[in-house]
Amino acid sequence: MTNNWTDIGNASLVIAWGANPSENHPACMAHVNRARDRGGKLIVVDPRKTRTAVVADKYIRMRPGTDIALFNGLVRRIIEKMEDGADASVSPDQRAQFFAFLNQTETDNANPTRNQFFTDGTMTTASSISFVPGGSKYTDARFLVKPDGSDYQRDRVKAATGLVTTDGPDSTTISNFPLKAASVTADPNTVYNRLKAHVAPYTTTVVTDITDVSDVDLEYLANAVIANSRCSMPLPGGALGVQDPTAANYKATTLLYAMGITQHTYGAQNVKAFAVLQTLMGNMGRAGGGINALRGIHNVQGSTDQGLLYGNIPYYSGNPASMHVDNKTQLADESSIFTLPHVVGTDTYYGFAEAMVADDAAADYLVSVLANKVATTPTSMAQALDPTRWDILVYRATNVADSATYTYVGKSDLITKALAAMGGDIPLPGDICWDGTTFRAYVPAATSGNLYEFTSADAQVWTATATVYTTTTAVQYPSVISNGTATAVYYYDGAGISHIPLTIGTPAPGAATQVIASGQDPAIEFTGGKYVLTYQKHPDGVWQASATSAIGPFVGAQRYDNDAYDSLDGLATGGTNVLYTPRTGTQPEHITDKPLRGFVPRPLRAVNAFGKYMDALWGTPLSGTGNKAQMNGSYDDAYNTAAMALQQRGFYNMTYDFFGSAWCQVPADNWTPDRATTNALYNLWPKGNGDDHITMFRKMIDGTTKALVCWGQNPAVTEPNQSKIRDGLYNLDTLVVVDMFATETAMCSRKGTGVTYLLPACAHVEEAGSVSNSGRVLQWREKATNPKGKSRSDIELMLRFAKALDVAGAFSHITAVWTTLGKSYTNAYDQMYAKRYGWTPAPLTNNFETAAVSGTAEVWRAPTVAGGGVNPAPTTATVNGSEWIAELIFREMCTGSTGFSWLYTRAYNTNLAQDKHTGQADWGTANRAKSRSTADPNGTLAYPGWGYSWLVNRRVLYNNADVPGDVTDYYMGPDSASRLFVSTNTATLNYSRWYRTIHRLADKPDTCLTANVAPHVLPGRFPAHTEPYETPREDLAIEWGRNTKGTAKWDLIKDDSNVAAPGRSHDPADYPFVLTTIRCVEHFQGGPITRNNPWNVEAEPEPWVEINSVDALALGITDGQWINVVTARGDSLGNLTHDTAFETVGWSQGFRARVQAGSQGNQRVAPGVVAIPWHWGDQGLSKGSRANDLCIDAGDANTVIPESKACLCNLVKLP
Amino acid sequence: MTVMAILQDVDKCIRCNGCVISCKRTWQMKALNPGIHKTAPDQRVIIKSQKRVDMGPFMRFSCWHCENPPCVQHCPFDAIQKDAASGAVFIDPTLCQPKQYNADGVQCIGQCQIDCGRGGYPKIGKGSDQAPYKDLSKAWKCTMCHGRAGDVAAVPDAVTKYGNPLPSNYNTVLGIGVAYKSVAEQDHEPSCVYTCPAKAMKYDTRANVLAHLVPANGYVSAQGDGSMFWASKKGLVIAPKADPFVEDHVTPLVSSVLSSPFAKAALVPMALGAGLLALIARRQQLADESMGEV
Repeated sequence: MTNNWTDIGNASLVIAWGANPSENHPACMAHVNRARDRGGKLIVVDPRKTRTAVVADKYIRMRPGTDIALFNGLVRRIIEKMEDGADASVSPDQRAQFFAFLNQTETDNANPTRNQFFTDGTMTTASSISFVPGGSKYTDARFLVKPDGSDYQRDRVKAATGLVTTDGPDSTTISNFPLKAASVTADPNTVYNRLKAHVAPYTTTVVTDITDVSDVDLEYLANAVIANSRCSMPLPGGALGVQDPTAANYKATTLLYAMGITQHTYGAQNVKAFAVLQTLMGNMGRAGGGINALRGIHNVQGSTDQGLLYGNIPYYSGNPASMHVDNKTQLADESSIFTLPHVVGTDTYYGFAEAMVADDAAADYLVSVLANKVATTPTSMAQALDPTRWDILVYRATNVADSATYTYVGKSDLITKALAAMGGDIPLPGDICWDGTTFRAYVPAATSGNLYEFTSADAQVWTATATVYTTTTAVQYPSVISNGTATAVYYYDGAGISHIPLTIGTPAPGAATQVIASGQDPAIEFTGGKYVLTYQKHPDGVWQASATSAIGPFVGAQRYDNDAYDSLDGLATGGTNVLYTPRTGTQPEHITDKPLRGFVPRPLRAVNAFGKYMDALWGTPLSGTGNKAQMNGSYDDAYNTAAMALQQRGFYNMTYDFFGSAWCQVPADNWTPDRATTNALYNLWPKGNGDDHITMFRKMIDGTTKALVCWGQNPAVTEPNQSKIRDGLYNLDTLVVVDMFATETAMCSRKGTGVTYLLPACAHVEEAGSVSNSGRVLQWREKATNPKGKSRSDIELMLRFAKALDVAGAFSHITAVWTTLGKSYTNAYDQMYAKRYGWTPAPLTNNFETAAVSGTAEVWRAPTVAGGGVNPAPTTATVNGSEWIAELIFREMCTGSTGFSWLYTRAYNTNLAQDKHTGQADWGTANRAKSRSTADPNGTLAYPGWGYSWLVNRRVLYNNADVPGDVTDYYMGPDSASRLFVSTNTATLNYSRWYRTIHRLADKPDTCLTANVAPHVLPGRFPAHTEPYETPREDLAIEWGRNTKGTAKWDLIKDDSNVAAPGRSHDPADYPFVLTTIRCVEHFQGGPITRNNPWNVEAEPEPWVEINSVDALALGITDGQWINVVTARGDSLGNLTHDTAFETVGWSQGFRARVQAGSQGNQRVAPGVVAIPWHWGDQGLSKGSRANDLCIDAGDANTVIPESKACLCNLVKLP
Repeated sequence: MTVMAILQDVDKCIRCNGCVISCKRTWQMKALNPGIHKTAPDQRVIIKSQKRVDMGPFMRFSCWHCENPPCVQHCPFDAIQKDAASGAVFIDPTLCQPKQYNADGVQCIGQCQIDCGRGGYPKIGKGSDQAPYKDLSKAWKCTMCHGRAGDVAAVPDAVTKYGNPLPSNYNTVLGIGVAYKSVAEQDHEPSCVYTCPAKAMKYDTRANVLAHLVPANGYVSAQGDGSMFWASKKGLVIAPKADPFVEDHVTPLVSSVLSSPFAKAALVPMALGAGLLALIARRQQLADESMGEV
C-alpha cells in the first residue's frame, strides 16, 4: 500500500479492481464504508460479481485477463477528454488543473522543503539533500525521451548552490537527468505524449472487443476517475488547489487490488498500469489516493519486509549472492524488483542473458555486453551480435584461449581508438565499463595492470589519449573459454598466472582439473586456492549451479565456499591495485551503477566483498578518498558507518547482527567493526538467489533439492499444477513441516526412504511479536495465552531447530571465521541464537513460555482490569518466553542507528518525543509497535500514534508534503535519488549519493505500441495488453501476444506443465470455459486453520463451482449437482499428470454446482466463465477437490507469480 | 439501565458471516448445519440476502427483542424473560424445560417457537456445546448477549450461566469512548456488533437509534421493532421474513423492483415498530430435538 487502510476513508471514489475485500479482506470494508458514509462511491471492476460488487455503487464486468487493455483504454479516454476542449463533460477548470499539475515544477529551490527526505513532521527540521533545480514536482510527464524511445534525452545540471562536495561548493555537475520540455504537450517526445501514443491503439472499439466491457461503462469509468481526482478540486484559472482531505468536496480516487491483478502472466504489468493511471491523475501521494494492495494476512507485509522472497534479503535489498554467482545464472534469474544490484537503469542485460541462453548451439557466445542501446530483446545470435543494437559489444569465439581474441563491436570510433591506445592490451569483458559517456578498461597482468579511461564530450568524438593507471599487483581471476569443448582455465597459483587444461567429466570442488561434458558451459569458483567449475548448463537451457558444488552441512542446499574470498586477502590488502571502477569528483551518483555492468563474469575479490555490494546497491560515495589518486580507497566509505545512510547502515548492522553477535549487545571491544571483520562477516552471507516457487518443486523432482522446510505454508494445496508439487514433495529426502495441523503437505505421499517431520506450532495468539499490516504499520501482538498442549511458539521452534542444525555442524563455518578473526566466542549458535537471548538450550520441557527466559517489557494487558478489556494505559511487566525474545529481537531490529532494519528505524525509541506528526502527542511506548493512540490530530485519518509505519511513521508515501501533518516524502523522477531513502546525515551532498535505486525494471519508455513489435520482456513504464497463457481468444493472442519472456530462462511455463494428462486433449477447443479461482470469506488460504474449525466448516462445507445459468442450461446442470472440472492438467477426480500416486478416495469428488439465478449478465459469473475456490484438500474436517490440481502454473514474465486467475477448462456432470 | 438496540446499516453489510461465527463461538454453539443460512437451535443469528441468492443487500436475521414479546407470555417456566431495563429478551437455560410440566401441570409445547412471527426464534434443540447445557434440549435464541453485560448484580450467576462479559470494541483509553461509556451497557457490546469488520452495526440506546434514523441522516428506508433495526440510505429495506429454511425472502419480481431506480428514488416512510411484512411469515414447524440434527 502506498497509503493506509484508514486512509481509504478519505477517498471520494474507491475502485476495487481485481479485489474482493468483502470476502477476502473484510476489515477493509469498514474503511470503504467510512468513505461511503462521507459521500464516496465504490466501483468494482472484476470478472465476477462478488459480494463486494453487489454492495457497490457500480459494477463493471470484464473478461478475465484483460485488465491492461481496459486500463489503457481508460487512459486514452481520459486524455481524449482532457484535450478535447469541446467535451462538455470536463470543465475548463478541470482541464486547466489537469495540465497545470502535470507541468508543475518545484519552484522553491532555495528553500527546498519538499526535497527533504526526513523530517519530524514540521518540514523544517531536516537538511535538504540533492535535488534537481527546476525539477518536476510530481511526475515525469514533461521529461523527454529519444525519438526512438530507447532512453531519455539526458541532461547535465549543476548542483544547487550551497551543496558541498570534496571538490568544493557549488561544483558538482549531476548528469543523466532527463531533459524537460516546456510543457507536456510541447514536444511529441514528452513522456506524456509517448503515453498518449502508446495508448492510441486502445480505442473504445478495440477495448470493448478485448475486455467485453461496454463503451458506456468505459465512459462511466473515465468520467468517474476524472471527477474524483486532483483535477476536480481546482481553483479558478488552473491554480493548484489544496490537498487537504478535510477540505470540502475533497476528491481522490484510490485503487484497491489483490490477487485478481497479480495472479496473471502480466501481473507486474497490471500493477504498473495502476501506477500510470494514478500518476497521470495526480492521485499518488494524496490522502485517499494511491494504489493499495490488499494484503489479507496480518503479517504478509511483514513477511515481504523480511525478505522471504527468493531474491531478497530483508528490507528490500538485493541478495549479496548476485555479486558472486556466475553471471549467466544470475542474469537469467533477474526477474524481480529490488533483487539485483548490477542491472540498474538499463534493459541491456536482459537482452544479453537471453541471447546467451537462446543460442547456445552457436559457435560464439557472448561474454559481456556494455551498452545503453537495445530496443528489443534479441531473438537470435545474429541479432544479438548486430552492432547497431549495442553501443559496445564484446564477445569471444569458440576454443580461444587467449583474451586477445575478444571481439569488440559497436562504436567503431571509440573501439578503434581505444584498442589502439591500449597498445596491445586487450581487456577482458569483465574489466571494462561503459556508462554512455566514459569508457574504462582495466588490463591486469602478472605483476601489474593498467587502467584506461576514454571520455567523450558528446559521446561520439573520443579523446584518443588514454588515462593510464598502472598497478603494482596482479589481479588474478579465473577465466574459462568455450561452450562445449573447453580448453583452458586461467588461474592464479600464487606465483603467476597459469592455465590448466580442461577435460570432459564432472566438476568436483577443489580439483585441479575440471571436467566439462559436451554441451555444458563451464563457470568458475575459487575454492581452497584453486579454481573449480561449479556451474553447468542445465539441459533445459537454464544456467544453474551444479549439484556437485554442494559444500557445507546442508545437503541439497546451494552454498558457496566463501573462504575463496579470504584466499584473496593479498588483494584485499593491496594498496594500489585497481578495481573496476574509478570514482571521480565530477561524475556523481547517476552513473555509478553503470560500471557494474561490466563486472560480473568472475568472482568478486575480497577487497570489495562488502564495499562493492554496498556500492552496487546504493552507489559509490564521491568524497572520502574516492578520487583518482587514491582509487584503492574508493570503498572506504562503504565501511564507514558515519558516512552511511539508514539503508546502508541497516545492511551493515544486519551483517554484524546475523553473522556476528548482536550488534547492540556485545562488548564493543570484541567486535571492533574494522574492514577485515566486515568483509569476513559479509562473506558469511548465504549466496545464491534461490529458485522461484515453480522451479523449486521441479528441482525436488529431479533430486537437486533434497530437503524442504515448510514453515507455516501448505503448498500441497496452494500451488497450481499440483501434479508437479506432489511429485516434488514425494521425492524429497527430508520434509519438515511446521504447522498447527497435520496439513496436506505434512501428510502427502512420500517415497519410502523419505522422512517427514511435523513440528507442532502454536496459534498466533499463543505467541507474541510485531506484525506489519498492509499499510506498513507495525503493531505488537501480545501473547493471549501460553501454547496449548505440546505446541510451541515459532521462536522456540526456531531456536530448537537451529540447535539441531548446530549439533549437525551447520554453524561451524561461522565459528571458524570468528576464530580466524580472533574472537573469543567458540560457538556461533550460542551467540546467534540461545545465549544472545538468555536461553540455555534445554531438553523439551513446557517451561519455555513461563520460566526459561524472561525480562521486563511494556504491556497493555493488566490482570487488575476488572473483567478484562482494554488496559487504560501501557505499563511494564515481566514477560516470558516468546514474548520476551520477540521484544529483544524487536529492539535489535528497530533501535536507532544500530538496528539492523533500516526500514523500521526508530520503531524502538526511548525518546518519546521524536518522529511525530504535526499535533501528535508524545509516543506512549518506546516500542512503538505497542503504541495505541487513537488520536487523529490532523483529521486526515492517519492515526499516527497507532503503531508505527515505515518509513519514519510516514502514513502516505510519495506525499510531497501534500498530506497535512504527515511525515514529508518527496516524489522524484527517474534516475534520481530515491524518495524512499532516509537519512539523518546532515553532511550536505554526501548522503545524497547513498541513494537506493528504485527502478529495477528497465526504466525506459516502452516503445512497443502494438503487440507484435516485441515481446514485453521487462518492458518500460507503459504496459501493453497481452493475453493469458490459455485464452479463449486465440485471435487476440495472435494480435496482441502474450507477456512472454521470449527466449529467457523459461518462457512462462515449464515444458512439463504443458503436457496434457493421460487420455486428455491439449486442444484449447476442448476447454470452452475460462476457469478463474476465487476465495471465500469462511476459509483461509490452504485451509489448515479454517478447515479444522467446525464453525467455518459448517459455514462453507465443500468446494463449489459457480456457473452462469445460460451455460448450466446448455449443459443440463442444475444447482447442487456434482461437477467434474477438467483442464489439460487433469480433472477434479484425481486424474492428473503426476507420476506418483496419491489417495483420491474420500475427498476428490468434484465441485458442487452453484448455478446462478437472474439475468445472465447479473450473475456471479458471465457465460463462458466458471469460478472455483481453492481452499480445499485431503485433510481436515472438511475435505474436497483441490482447485490447484487444475490450475496452470504459467508464471509472470517478471515475477513468476502463477496465473491462477485465468485458464481453460471443461465441465462434466457427474452421476 | 437503558433499553439498548442494534441497528444494522444494510448498505454496509458484506455477509462475511463474522457475526455468525463470533456468536457461535461466544455461546459455544454446535456446528451442525452445513450452509448455515437457516435458523436452527444452534444458530442465533444468520445473514439473509434481500434479493437473489447471495446478491444482497445483506441483513442480519435474529430475535427482534419485541417490546411485548409473545414468547415470553406463554412460557410455562418463565424461562423466557424480557429485561425491561435493557430491553433484551433472553432465556434462562436453567429454567427452560422443553416438553416438561411446570409446577401447575402445564406442559411446554414449544409455544415460544409457534408464537414468534418474526424470526422463527426461539428454536428448541441441542444447540450448545457449553456445559452444563451440552446435549440438553433447550430453547436458544439471540439474547443481545444478555448476561454478558457484566451485570453481575442483576444476574448473580451471570458468569456461570452466560460466561464472562464481553469487551467493547471502542477504545476508551484516550477519551474517544467517554461519551459512549455513559451508558453502562455500551461497554459490553453484543458479540456480533463487536466482531463486525465492516462496522455495519451500531449498538446504542434505543432512543439514540431511533433519533439517528431520520432522513436528515440520509436514510431512505428503515424497519424494526423492539431492539432490532435495519436501515438503508440506498433502497427499500424489507425486514427478513421468518422462514427458517429459505435464505432469500423476496421474489425475483420484487427483487427487480428493488433493484430499479425507483427503489433508490423512493423515500419510503418509516415503518418503525411495524414490521408489517414480517406478519406474512408462515408459522413455524415445531422444532423438537431432532432440529438439532438438521
